[in-house]
Amino acid sequence: MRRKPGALIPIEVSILDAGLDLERRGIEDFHGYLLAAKIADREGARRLLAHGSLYRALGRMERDGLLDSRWEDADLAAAAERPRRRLYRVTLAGARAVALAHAARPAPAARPRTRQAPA
Amino acid sequence: MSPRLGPVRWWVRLYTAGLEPSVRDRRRDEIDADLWDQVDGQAGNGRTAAAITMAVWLRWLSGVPDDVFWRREQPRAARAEPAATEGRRDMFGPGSRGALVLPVGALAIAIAIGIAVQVIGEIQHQEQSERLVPSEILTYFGIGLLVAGLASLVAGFAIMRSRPAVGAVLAVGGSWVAGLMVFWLIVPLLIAAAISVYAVRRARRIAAEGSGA
Repeated sequence: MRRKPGALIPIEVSILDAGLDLERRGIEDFHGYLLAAKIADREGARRLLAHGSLYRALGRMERDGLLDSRWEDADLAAAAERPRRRLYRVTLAGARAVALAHAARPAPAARPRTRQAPA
Repeated sequence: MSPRLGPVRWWVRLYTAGLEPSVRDRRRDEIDADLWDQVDGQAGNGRTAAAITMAVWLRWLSGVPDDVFWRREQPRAARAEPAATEGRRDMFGPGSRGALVLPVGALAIAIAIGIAVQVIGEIQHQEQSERLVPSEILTYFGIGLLVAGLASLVAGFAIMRSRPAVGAVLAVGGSWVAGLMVFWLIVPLLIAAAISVYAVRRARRIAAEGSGA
């Protein structure tokens, strides 16, 4: 999806929201699968974000300065007997961008009542 | 039984082939770690290997369009030495692989859909029911794939002189997609096999002539 300069598309908002949520819970650096699981959990989705969609968005956001990334320590991965993870972190610019995106989003309209309360 | 991740890894290797090594390895390693985490996480939740395979494959297949777009966004790796100075050019060598991502991906998906159409059609035929997919839809898919397969076959031979590798892939894949749609007759499958052998030999000959020029 193309976006206007400075604007975030929905998947980027989801990634930044999930990343900041993880940060608030003490997980400052997160990897792709953890992020996909967090997004599914937050949004009540049954399926995880596709590999292609997730990693394409992460790469683009890193290039735009919304995220930082690094490889985790190879010794840690080896000790856990698993492949090395790429770890991401939301940058200050990312946190600002998502705050702006939320501020710009119109407040949801109140739902019309369809049923009268019993008298 | 462990989850079947081979096709996912094969696809990642395919669409990252020919890229700068740092970009290629980063994507491959990242997906590899993701697959490991998903299998580990879901197995820990008590899911069966079949259920995990299904979940991984759904994640993979629904992201294929983004993989293709991502690939197109990447700068091409600097090509190796010109073929003319290198002697015989490998038809499917690193320089050709990038151009193969889209046709191979499209044909793999077409073959997967074709197999699904035939399997579902067979199940419904045995059960004399339409509980999975209406027969009309299956027929439309079948005709569509047959036409697409034949079109791919013709296009493959049409472009083979200028793009031998892509032409061979289109001709071989197209012949099998079309043959799959009439799989109950052995002759179309034999024709597909013969076309495949002929197409690959012809493409190799053209590639060799090109590199010798």
